[in-house]
Amino acid sequence: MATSVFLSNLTTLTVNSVSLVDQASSVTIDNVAEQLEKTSFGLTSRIFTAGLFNNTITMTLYNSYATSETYATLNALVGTTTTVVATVTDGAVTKTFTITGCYLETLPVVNGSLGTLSTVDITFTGGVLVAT
Amino acid sequence: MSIEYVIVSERVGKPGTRFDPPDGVNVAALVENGFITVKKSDKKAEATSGD
Repeated sequence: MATSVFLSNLTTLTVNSVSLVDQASSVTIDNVAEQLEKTSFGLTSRIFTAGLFNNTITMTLYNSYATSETYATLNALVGTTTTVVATVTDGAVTKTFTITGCYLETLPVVNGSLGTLSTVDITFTGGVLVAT
Repeated sequence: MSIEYVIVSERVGKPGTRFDPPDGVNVAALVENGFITVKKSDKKAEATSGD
């Protein structure tokens, strides 16, 4: 059974060309094709077809307001589109996922609680996903 | 004449080297937060070309 255990498999993670791999603890990239129903009378099961692609990228980053860190990377991207690149290495195989034109709607600017490291969860949506 | 950029932060690449923005990258955000700078024009070259 093939498995991929995430230890240090994520070798690069760039947001708008800025490397944030050392600030990330979680990344999910979903390749999503919206489902459109095309069930018609006479059928007994629902049938779907693909609509537009609507990819999502979610990540958890440790928060820092220092120069060249998380906040400085993301604050000017809210309400704009950018490029996210993630490279995953699994043994001898390396896959690079590039999402161009993904949109950042929300950036939590303060998120913390007593005695814990501050993190931010962000989601990019849309864009074109290319795997190489 | 296209604008040239120079890397400032190690998070983008080797500082001091030229930055060629990949497709879709928000260059204004990188400049605004000091990750890269706009390369200063070569005054000598400008004087020669008459620009």
